Amino acid sequence: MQLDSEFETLHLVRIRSLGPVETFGDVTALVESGLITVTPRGCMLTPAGFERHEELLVQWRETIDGAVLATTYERFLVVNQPVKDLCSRWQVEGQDDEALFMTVEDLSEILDRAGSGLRRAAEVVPRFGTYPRRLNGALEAAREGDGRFITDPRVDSIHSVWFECHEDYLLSLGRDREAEGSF
Amino acid sequence: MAATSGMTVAARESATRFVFAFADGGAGDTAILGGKGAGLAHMTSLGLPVPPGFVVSCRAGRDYLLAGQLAPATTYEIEAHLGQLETAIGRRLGDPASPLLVSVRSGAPISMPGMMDTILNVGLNAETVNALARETENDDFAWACYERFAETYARVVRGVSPGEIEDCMMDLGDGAARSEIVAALLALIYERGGGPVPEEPRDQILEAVAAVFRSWESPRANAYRRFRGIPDELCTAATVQTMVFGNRGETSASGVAFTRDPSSGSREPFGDVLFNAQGEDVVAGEHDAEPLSVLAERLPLADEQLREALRSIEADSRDLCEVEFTIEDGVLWVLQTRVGLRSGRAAVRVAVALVDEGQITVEQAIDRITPAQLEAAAAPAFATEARPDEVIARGLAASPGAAVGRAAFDPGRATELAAEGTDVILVRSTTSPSDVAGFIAAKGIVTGRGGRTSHAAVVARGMNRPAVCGIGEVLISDDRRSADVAGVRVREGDLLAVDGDRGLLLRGTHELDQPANDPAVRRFVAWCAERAQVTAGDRRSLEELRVIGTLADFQTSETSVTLELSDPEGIPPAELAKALSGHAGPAPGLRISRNWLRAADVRLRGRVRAVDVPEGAPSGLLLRATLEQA
Repeated sequence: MQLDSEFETLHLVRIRSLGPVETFGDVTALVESGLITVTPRGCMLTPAGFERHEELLVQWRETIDGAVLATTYERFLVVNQPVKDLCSRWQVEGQDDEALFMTVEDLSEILDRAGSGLRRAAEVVPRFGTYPRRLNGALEAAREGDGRFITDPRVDSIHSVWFECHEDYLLSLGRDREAEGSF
Repeated sequence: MAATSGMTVAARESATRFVFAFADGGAGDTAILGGKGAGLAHMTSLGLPVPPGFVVSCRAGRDYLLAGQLAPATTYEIEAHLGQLETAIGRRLGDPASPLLVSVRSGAPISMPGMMDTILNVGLNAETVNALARETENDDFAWACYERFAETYARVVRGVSPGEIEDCMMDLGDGAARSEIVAALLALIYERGGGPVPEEPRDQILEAVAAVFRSWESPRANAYRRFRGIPDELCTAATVQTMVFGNRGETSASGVAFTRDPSSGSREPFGDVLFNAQGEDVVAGEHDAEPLSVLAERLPLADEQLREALRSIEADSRDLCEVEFTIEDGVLWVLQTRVGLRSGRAAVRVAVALVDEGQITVEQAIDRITPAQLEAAAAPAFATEARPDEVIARGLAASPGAAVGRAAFDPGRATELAAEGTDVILVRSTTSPSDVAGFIAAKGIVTGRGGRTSHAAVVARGMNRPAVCGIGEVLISDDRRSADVAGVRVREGDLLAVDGDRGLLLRGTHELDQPANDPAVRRFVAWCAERAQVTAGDRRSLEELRVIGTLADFQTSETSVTLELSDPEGIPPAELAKALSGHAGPAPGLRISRNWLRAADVRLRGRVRAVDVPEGAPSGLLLRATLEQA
């Protein structure tokens, strides 16, 4: 297996863990070598898989322009709290059609701001390009009336994707969530 | 001339006056002041310490949109009100020693999307930013305020696209100083936003007010009006209000207070306060806020003012309210009040208590409780506050409900244990997306760090799992079979309880209580049953029927609810049997009388959740629910 694709697969499983097994790409070899286990709801890294991922992650970091990624992450953090506030408002204060309309409008404005940074991040690390696409997909689904696409953890909701994107930044930049204080 | 002389005084006044101080009254006049402005005027009229300010009316906005510029009379009145504001607050706009800063926000007669459109810290410039830094003894904060001002000014006032703003800030690279960011934003506004930002605060305010009016015609506002069917001829008002700061030192603070405890309903003010901090820090709950009770010790005068304010607010609304406040140099300011969110159980208890206190009638109490709240009240909860020796740690009530289960510290182990049929409480220090599988497997969730809006809280609420966040340090052992949880040793498999209403992690011996044992809930259910004699086809009765449906959730051995539908025209029993076949049966203990309606009229889903009575049903149709002792 190519080193790059091994890393990308392990990385995706590390970040996501939920979803149909196909969404993680071809995991057969990695399951056979004991790095990934398939669960009823998706995939998980085994302890050996975690170790292997860490090892590859450190090597991978050497290959990217971390400063550019860090700059875009600063902009991500500026909108992180408003995104979580809107997600919380939606959950706590009622989920009728009007609340959905308001939430989608407010989120779409914030995600519009976040899009510039994510696109710039994708120039350095191509997988960051998947986040704006998935966020827009979730926004469209919510706009069409499916409220699950705001925060439901079991679908590719705005919060699910945002949470993954945040985790990807932390792992990619080698930051510690606790030390940084962004929860 | 005849028309003018025929006008009432109030009408003549509104024809010539465009600006109203909060203290001018006019509370409730949302058509003139907009929702936000009318609310602030109302709070001021209650004698609450609202940061002073004024409203530039919807009419002024309408005139602006027609003429393309602020009318001279509007500008003149704004100037006059700014002068009064300076006198009232004892600070002057642009004063290099102690500047007055204001916020400018929109407030339409109906609520609109747009939480991002408020322009804060108006009045900052190259000089006053230094004054703010000196006054707060916090350089970074002052420049962060200036950055926020410049960013919103670019976007909201000058219409610079978010993409251009983001590019401008990212071009500065990682770790640029705040002052560099501000300089870059001001340069961007100069180049791409039609000229420099005025240094003169009065000009900033006039531009901001005009921008708020223009926001009425933004694509988002237009889309919203189409969605709601709101006429385009209305306009928003603009509210200009003094900024207050909760981070001017140790006699300053920000907080959120409830007039009663929103989880238990008990009649004692409840809330969080954070010293030397701004309001958004409290709302996010990411910092270590302290319970409201510490105010009495640390700032007794402000504590007294707050208690007085909470009393006035509740007496006015006759309901549990939530209040955002700031204490600036020991002086209390009330920023916002609204009817407070509460747990289902607390909703019922508060409604019953307000009836006992003579504040509301039984009818009003019943009307206030939504079917969703009644359903939530039916969920088991920890009825009593835990004994101190049961409490392992206190945190934030991040997701409501109660759960008991065995401790696990790893999402994989949580999944395995759950697959074996064990109820699991998942304990983590922080969360990442890879924990979500463990969240799904767990009955309750605990995190060491993070607040009410943390990813963990959002995910827990998204799956209706009770959760307590921010309980303190959680150190998980290398083998992930034990942990030090806020100083207490916990092993995998230990029995834990999560009280997501009170924000407690407990030893799992604490017992769950059935809602029907709660005297307040019992009384409320009895009231509903008494009142439920209604005629079909009436909208109100449909709501009531839904409430009755959820009464089935309160079944215990001693109580049963009988729902009886009687149709004076009668339906042959054979037809009834046919109609009801194919539907799931009612809840155990729920007896339904034999005179049922047609199939299409009755929906039974496991438990009776909703009984839809059709429009045009026989007018003599009655639904009666009675609560009986078995």
